[in-house]
Amino acid sequence: APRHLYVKRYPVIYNASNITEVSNSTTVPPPPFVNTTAPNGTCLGNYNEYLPSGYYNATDRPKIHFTPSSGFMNDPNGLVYTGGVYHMFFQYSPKTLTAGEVHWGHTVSKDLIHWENYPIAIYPDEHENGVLSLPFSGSAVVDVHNSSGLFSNDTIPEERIVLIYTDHWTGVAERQAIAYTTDGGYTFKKYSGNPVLDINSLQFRDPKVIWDFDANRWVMIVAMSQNYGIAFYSSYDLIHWTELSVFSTSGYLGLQYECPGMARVPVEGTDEYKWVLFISINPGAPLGGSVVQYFVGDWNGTNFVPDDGQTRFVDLGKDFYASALYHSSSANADVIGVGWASNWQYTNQAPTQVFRSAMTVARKFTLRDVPQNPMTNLTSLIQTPLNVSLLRDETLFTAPVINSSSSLSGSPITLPSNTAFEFNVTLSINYTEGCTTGYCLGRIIIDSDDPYRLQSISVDVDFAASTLVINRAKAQMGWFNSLFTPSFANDIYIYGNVTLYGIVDNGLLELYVNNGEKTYTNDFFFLQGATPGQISFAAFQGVSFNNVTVTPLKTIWNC
Amino acid sequence: MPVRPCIHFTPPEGFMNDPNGLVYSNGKWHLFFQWNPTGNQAGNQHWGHAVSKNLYKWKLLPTALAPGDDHGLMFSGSAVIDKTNSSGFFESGFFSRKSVDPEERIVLIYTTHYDNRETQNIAYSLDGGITFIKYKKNPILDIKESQFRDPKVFWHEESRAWIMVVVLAQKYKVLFYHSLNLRDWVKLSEFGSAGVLGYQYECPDFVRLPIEGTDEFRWVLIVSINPGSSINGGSMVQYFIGDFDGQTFTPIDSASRILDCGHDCYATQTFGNAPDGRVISISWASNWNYTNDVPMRMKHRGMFTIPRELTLCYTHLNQETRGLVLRQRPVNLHHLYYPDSLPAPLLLNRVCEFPTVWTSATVFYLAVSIPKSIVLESPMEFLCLTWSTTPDVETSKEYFELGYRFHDGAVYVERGVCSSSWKYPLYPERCTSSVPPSSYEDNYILEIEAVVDHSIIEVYLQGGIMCLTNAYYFKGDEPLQYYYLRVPTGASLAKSGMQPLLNNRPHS
Repeated sequence: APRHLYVKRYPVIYNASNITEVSNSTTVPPPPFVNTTAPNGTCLGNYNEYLPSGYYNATDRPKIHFTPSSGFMNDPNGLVYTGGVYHMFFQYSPKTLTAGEVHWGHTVSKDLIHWENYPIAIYPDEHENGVLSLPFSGSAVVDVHNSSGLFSNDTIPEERIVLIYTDHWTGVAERQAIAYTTDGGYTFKKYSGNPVLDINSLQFRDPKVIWDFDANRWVMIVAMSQNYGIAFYSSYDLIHWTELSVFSTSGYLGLQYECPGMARVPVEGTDEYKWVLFISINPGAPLGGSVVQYFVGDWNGTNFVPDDGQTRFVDLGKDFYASALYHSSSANADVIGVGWASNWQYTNQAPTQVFRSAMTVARKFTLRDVPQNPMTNLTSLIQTPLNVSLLRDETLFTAPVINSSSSLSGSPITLPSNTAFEFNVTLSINYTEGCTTGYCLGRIIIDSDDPYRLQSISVDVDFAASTLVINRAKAQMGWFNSLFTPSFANDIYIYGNVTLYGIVDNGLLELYVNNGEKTYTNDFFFLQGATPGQISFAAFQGVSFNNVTVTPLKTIWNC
Repeated sequence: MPVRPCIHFTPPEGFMNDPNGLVYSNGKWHLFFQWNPTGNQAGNQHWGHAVSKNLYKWKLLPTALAPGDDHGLMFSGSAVIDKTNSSGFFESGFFSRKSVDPEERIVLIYTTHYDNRETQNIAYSLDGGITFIKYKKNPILDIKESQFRDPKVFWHEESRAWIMVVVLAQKYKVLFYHSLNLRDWVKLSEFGSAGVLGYQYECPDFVRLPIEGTDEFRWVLIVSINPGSSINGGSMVQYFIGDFDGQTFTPIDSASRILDCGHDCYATQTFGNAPDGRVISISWASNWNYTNDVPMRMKHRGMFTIPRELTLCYTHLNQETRGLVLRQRPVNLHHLYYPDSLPAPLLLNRVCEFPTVWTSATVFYLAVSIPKSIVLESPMEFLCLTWSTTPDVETSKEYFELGYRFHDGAVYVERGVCSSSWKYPLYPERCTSSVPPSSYEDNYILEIEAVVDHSIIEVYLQGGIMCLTNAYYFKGDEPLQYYYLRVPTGASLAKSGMQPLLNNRPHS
């Protein structure tokens, strides 16, 4: 497909008539919320509770990854950037540690790394006989021109946030609904005319809405989950939707499609863009459980047209799902995504105490031609973690070179307890020193800080086999789940040196290979009380670690 | 202690990988294979050769192809029966040579591999497949490419011509060629940049498969990927379903489908000229991530899956969609049943011995039924079927375990190893996948068939719509001989059995 050079355009305003909102008496009233700053030394939790000082210090809680104060969290929803603030909503079951009575939790950030909690944004609806319908996943937009007619001039354009979510009524239907805020995002009202899109289907969910700057209208990307279809709808007012097309039966099918997203992603080093369609699958990932795949192509205003029939995955670890993209009112904003750092195969049993699951750090998405073998480059999604650098503490360790004859090889570097850290390293190989499969490698080991250091995770880059092995077999000693795959042998094409950037937190490793060409997100679970305590870089048979740095990261939590 | 499997083909010595040239000729199944007769790792590729009347008992024949004076290696390919003598190799001629029986006119089509060039070549047999003569005008197809290999040739009745599918491996292309005489080839079309790409495409196979329960059929293109498997690294086989008009393969959709979800199934090939239009496949049961280094306790490395019959069938992919999937079933296992022995039913929740000795394999089959309401109440419970070398199944270090969770169809296979046994960083000990349970009235049902042999277990789920093929390499002195079956509370065995299978090794 030809590449397009997009020209920035401004949307045409559609003059929808104002619709007066009528209170929905069947809405479950929220608990009282005090619209005031939390008392000193405390934080606001995700279920409108105040948290005592030190609440987030628990050793099973990640320090730089967003986690809910309590309860169960899954899909990131409604990512929207407006007024200098990034909003993140998420699927949230506040009263249980397993997925259940889902709400939309809400948190905000100025820098995509420090988060401040806001009240629950969407509650379940209560119907006759106390039956609930649940707000499943969706997205958010800023209706700057009030195309929906839901806002008065009292709400400034950049605060006109509209949430689009699936109302899931078990056994009845899945329908798309909207909610809006007139107080900057603290609270949301459901639209009185909900649902705005009902096709009489039980498997119709996860609407992602974007503004099509070329067609000057809203476009919804939504999953017809168990028909393996991604349906596209258009609207001029976020309320009335017209079907455009369906993209179907592509890539891995698994059991169903979920959580679609679409964005115009820049190609690095050029002024060109390609459209990328994201589809999550659960279950049915090749590693088991949940996974996110993507397709590269073009959006012609009506159809998504893929460039090829390739199957591509966003993240090659086992714990990356339901990634969502930030909405912005700017046509040329960076494409930023967040994934849920877990897997439906085992998330409901993960051994954390007060909360379950975390989000990845926010990542910027771009496209790059990446060598796959000596003959072929492929357009691949590149992921760059955002603003982790803001958390850097004093560098703990640097070494220009560690090779097999270096005394530093395999020597442990002590890490501060209960602290996230990052490492940067470039691995190179001198083949003249001999190279045997399975032994010609650089190994990074991260041990726990329990007294006997029995627990660890490791990353091996094997230049002979061209593989990257992530091993977490020793990171489930306190908890066993048959589906928690202990090791991953990933084939990587090594066409030069291999750079690794790793973010290691309590229970979560995010590994970025060759500046984001491949990413691997994997959970790990040390015994209660243990956190990463040591890291070592062991070089074997001709492999060198170059430009090694290890840097602690300050916690994002204020209490 | 021997670790050579009983009913899975292995080479007498040396290193074996891809099955090649699978063809049925005059009542015999011919199996050729990539073979290094002089080493225990890949290299020095020859074509080894074996024949069988029943696809299990194999008789070795002389090496079919060896590198020539130019040292080009004999890479993978296929075989056909040139019944009409389109190639002209099989005529009676001026020298009054006896004509070759039409059913024995075997022609091999193979890749010669040089460091910077791969070409397609043919060889033929005038003695029913004992020896092969390379065509003096080889190569028959040279497009000046270094990664151009693995020709699969078949007769396409509608075209009245031979069709070749062959890969430009590192350009992710399957090329289609046409020939009237096996010597002169004209390009028809390309298919590619589809599915999981990995590092390269290899070993294509192209076959028309019937859709069960209908009079219809579809064409299936099988493409192997190595390395770059999505199933935890290394080697993997995927397939595409579509139509073929004699020129172009058109897939029915853009879905990527995996042929086997275990770690040890690669280079799947089907038999040419199989009787009654059957489609029977054999795959290499190993993985390039570790095959050159697996333990050797006999003089060989490498083994094949058992022969599988391939069909397409519609199955419920989920509650709303029925889709076409490849179905694989073991071929004629009942021929291997011990005479006069009856299958023993499986017992629940106790350690049971099964009558294995080093000279036999065992097939386990069971169907488990569980009320949907119970799955809703206790979604996290597993069915577990564990095979162990010792009776203390719960603490055994050498075991193989299959687990299934009805709630989401999660399935895992674990090949446990003890601390003193073979460990290798690229050898995953556990793989997980998913396949939905089938539904009958208010119950979920799971069907399992497992062929348990020494060094390999092939699991067929839901009648073969999902397969998990995994090799295991224990170093202890005992075979798997105990099993323990546990099902979720409230589940019952609808049927079950285990059946010893006769040893079919050509050597011991």
